[in-house]
This record gives sequence, structure tokens and C-alpha cells, in this order.
Amino acid sequence: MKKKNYNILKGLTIVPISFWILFFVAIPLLYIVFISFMQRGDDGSIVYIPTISNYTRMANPLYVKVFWDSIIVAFITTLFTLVFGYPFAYFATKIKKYKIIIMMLIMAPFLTNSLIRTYGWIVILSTEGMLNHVFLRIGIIKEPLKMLYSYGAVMIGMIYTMFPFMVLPLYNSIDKMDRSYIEAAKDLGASKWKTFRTVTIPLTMPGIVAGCILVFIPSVGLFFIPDLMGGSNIMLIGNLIKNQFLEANDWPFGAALSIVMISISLILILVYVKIVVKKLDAEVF
Amino acid sequence: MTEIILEMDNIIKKYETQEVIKNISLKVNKGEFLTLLGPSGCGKTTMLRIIAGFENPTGGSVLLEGKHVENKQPNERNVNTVFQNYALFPHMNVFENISYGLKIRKVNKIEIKKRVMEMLSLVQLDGYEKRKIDQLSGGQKQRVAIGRALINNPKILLLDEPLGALDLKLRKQMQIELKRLQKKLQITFVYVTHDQEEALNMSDRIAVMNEGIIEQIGTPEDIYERPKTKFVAGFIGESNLIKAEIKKIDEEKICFEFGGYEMNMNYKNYDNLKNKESYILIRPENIKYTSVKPQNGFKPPYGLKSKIKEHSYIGSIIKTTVELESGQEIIVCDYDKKKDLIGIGSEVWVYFQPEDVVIVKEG
Repeated sequence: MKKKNYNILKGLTIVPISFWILFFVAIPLLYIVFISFMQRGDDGSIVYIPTISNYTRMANPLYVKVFWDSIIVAFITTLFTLVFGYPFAYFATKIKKYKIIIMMLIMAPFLTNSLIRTYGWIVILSTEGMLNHVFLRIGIIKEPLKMLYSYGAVMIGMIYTMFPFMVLPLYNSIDKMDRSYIEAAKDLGASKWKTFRTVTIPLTMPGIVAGCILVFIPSVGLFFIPDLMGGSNIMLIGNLIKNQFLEANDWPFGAALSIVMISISLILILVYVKIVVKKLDAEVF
Repeated sequence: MTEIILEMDNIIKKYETQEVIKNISLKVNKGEFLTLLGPSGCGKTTMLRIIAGFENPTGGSVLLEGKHVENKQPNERNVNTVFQNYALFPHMNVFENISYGLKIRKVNKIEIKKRVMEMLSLVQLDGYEKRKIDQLSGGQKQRVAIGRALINNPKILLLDEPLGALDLKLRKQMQIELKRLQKKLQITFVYVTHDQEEALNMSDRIAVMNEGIIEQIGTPEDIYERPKTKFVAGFIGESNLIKAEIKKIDEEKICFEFGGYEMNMNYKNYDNLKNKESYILIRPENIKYTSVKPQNGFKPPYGLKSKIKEHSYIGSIIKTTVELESGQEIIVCDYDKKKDLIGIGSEVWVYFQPEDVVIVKEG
């Protein structure tokens, strides 16, 4: 009797999840794979005749550059969020009294729309924006700087948007780490830096790996930040895909680009995890 | 003359308003095994952390080999710690854990290898160098932790309840091994525990701590046979503490009332006894009882009338609780298990030797 109840409960939880994965993840993904091998009709519709031309088109250096730029942007975003995020998370765990407040501040931007926050940056960075206004007044510059619509602006927007995704897993793993390991290292003669390098970093590696993945994957495909802050000067893979679906009405090519993007991200992550795990000889997952 | 390796003077440690260590002074001799013994919260671990350098004392000084170290970082002091939870680095194997201190000091690889191998055989872990930490049992982790601390040849090895997580049998075995190791290496050990048996078994000297002060410091025999305060008497071993009213003190004798009887005792060692609020301590193994009514030769209180309340069998001994006429309960331990037990409720007479009585102050 009891066992039966348990099975019903198990079913009740698993069935909706399975349906969700099937209808909202698996089927759409398979559909994308499917149409990536189809042709575009003259009116922008999908013509169901198999072809691999969508994939061969990507060999064009123009598209290769878009992929390359996107990966570089995602890589730099990951690197910067890690370099800024690690000390941030580390000191947040140290200030016990205020750590809840600090984490609240990190979480707070999630409560507002990220588009609105991006517009906020535009207000700050644009030619007639706040920053230029202040600089002109102080007299640091004679003419307004052109800060917006550049790679720099895109990077600022990306790093700002992705920062919490790096800090949260880092905070979690640093906070969880037993402080007695640090004391043990110091006790055995290690300086602060040596302790950090040989004990703190390896032991918080799960957080570093998780943070890097959480930042890198969305960064590759993020389109609204390059759109809004990079303008027409900057074309990244996310924008290219968006354009295929919304403007060029070339769904098969957009689908093929998406599949390649997902594959590249996955391969890079796998390589990264392999290297990290091998190098540290630590169990990460 | 013994050389003093560690001197702590007037140590005070406060956390915000709470005073954890209330003015402790302590001298540790070179090569001795000193135990800080006390209940949890008595400040013994804080004392150890002050020696290691993890805590700075609020007041007072710490001298290691005559040099002030109270402002030095843990990595600048030549003392090492065996942590309560071992704190072995989980991302390193046994070899890497033990060699950590040597690598930090940039000892060359060949020597590291040689010294780690020697250390492994010293702590009886030959062949375990490649093992991961999570593949070790509690006892093996303990050995790695000791090896990791000892490889730096510390002036003092600090041990914070190192055997707390082990089962009884392993704990007893490790007690003997640790003591043997300490004698062999001639390294000063400062050992923290709340287990009085462990302390008595291993230490050269014991400092009994309570609520931030040292109640008494002395050899295990001193502590057990001649406790100075009620706390020490009660904390170490089984004890019968009976409130006694002191009637008269003169040069040689002390006269006090106990269970309605007056008792005279030779008094040499009880110079600390000034106040009237005192207790007498008689260890259960020093008391006997008999069902034979004492004749004229038996003089009170060496034949106190009492009643058997309870017998309990605990392996090697039989513990009997008797009640005196005053209502006070006394525990008597008997190693002779073959003799017939006197029935509960029977009248008996309790007796003991005056030499076995110790007077302790309230403290």
C-alpha cells in the first residue's frame, strides 16, 4: 500500500518534468535541427527539400569572423567576470555581518528587466550621455567621446549583465569551504598568497568551473547587448541568428547557425572541463 | 634544570564582551607532554589557537624559546597543529599532504621524497603515499595529520582533541602510539582534550581548565590524588565530595566535622585551606564497607553507619551506592567481584584510611 503511494507520488513529479523537457526542449531542438537541413522559399517560407547548403554557406570568411568574434567576446566576458567576481565573492563571505545585504545587492538587478538596465548604460555612455557631460564640465575632454557603439561598450554591457552569474556559484563554493584548510596551510608555513594558490583556488574550483560555464554559454549567444550597445558596427553570432529569423526570414540558415553555435559552445566547455579536471586532479562534478 | 620552551604570561582573550581566557600564565618545559584538560567552553582550544597564532591574545605575552611571538603569523612560528577534524587537503594525496610544509619551504625534491617516506614509516603508513584522503579510515587520516605536522620538525606540536572522532578501541591504541612517538622524537606536545582518562594516561603534566582559568597544574598523580579544588576533584575520576565544616586548624592537625562525627587529620599539604567552606574528597576505591558492627577498636568516622542503596555491575568493578545517616550518598568501588553482595537496604559500616582523605576548597 505504502509502496504504491510512493510510486504515484514519484509519477506525479516525474511526468510533468518529462513533458516539459519533451515539449519545450527536445521537440523544439529537433525541429531546429530538422529545418536547418531545409531550404528557404522565395517568400521566406520553409521549403521541405533536404539540403546541406545552410552549413556550407558558413565557410564564408564573413561568417567565420562572426563566430570567432563572438567566442572572443564571450571569452573576455568570462575572464573579466572571473577576475572581478572572485575577490568580490571572497570578501563577501568574509564580511559575515553584511553578507546577506551584499548578496541582496547582487541579486537585486534580477528583479528588473535586463533590457531596461542596458538602456541605463546607453544613458550613461552615449555621446550626449552622463559620462560625457561630466567629463566636459570638469574639463578633462574638449569634445564628447564616442563610447557607445564599440566593442568596449559591448564588453561593459556583457560583463555587467553576466557578473551575478559568476559571483553566485563562486560565493557558494567559497562560503562552503572549510576555513580550517586555510588555517592548516598557514600553520604549515604557507604565506597568504601561497595558501590562496595551493588551497583556496583548488578547493573552490567547482565554483569557478560552474561560474565560467554559466557566463560563457549565454555570452556566446547574447544578442540584445551587442544590438543596443554595439549598434550596426558589431555583428555577433546572436545578432546574426536573430536577423535570420526576424529580418531576413531565412529560418533554415538561422537554424543551422544556432546548431553550430550550440555545438561550438558545448565542445569548448567540454575541453575546458577536461583540462581543469586533469590539471587539478580534482573531482569537479 | 629544565629548559622552558614556551612561556605564556597573563594571557587574556576577549570576544566582544565575553572573556574566554581570564589571565592565564603557563610555562611549558622542553620535551614535555602537557595536556590542557577541561569541559567544553573552558578556553582550552582558544589557548591552543593563541599558541599556534590563529588568535591574538587581547592581553599578555607569548614567548617561544624566549622570543615574543604574540604578533607573529602562524606561518612565522615554528609550531604545528594537528586539527580536530584533521583538515587534510582533500585535493591532494597522502604524499602531497605530508610534503606540503617541505614544498612551501622549497626543500629539494630528493630530500622531500626521503623525508616523507621516513615519516610514513614513522606513522606506520608505509605504502599509502598514493592514497587519496577520502580513501582513508579515521585512524589513517589521524596518522597523516600527525605526519604532516611533524615533518616540519616543530618546536611544539599542538594537538586539538585529535582522537575525538575515533572509536574507543582505536583511541586507546592511538594514545599509546602518540605517547611512544612523543618519547621517541623528544618533541614538546601541547594536547587539548576533555577526556580525563586520556589526559591521565598520556601526560607528563596536566593543566585543568575551567571557565577561562587554570584550576590546577601538575602531574597526573598530583591532579588525581591531590586535587586542590572541588572542580578538579569532581572533573577527574569518580569522587565522593562531602561538605565538611572545619572546626580547628593548628600547626599539625586539622579537625573537621563530617557526618556528625569529628575527625582529626594530619595536615601538611593543605596549605591552601584557609576558608571554612571546604570539601573532603574520598575516591570510591579508597572506601570499604562491612556488615560487621564495629567493636570498640573502630572509631568514628572510620565506621560510619549507612545503608546499601544500589549495586551496579560495570565490568571490572562493582559500584555500590550507600547512604549515610546524614542522607549523603557515597559511591564505593569494589574490585573483588567474587564476594557475596550485601542486600539492598541492609545496614553497613563504611570505613576508610585518613591518609586517603583529601581536603579541597570550593574554588
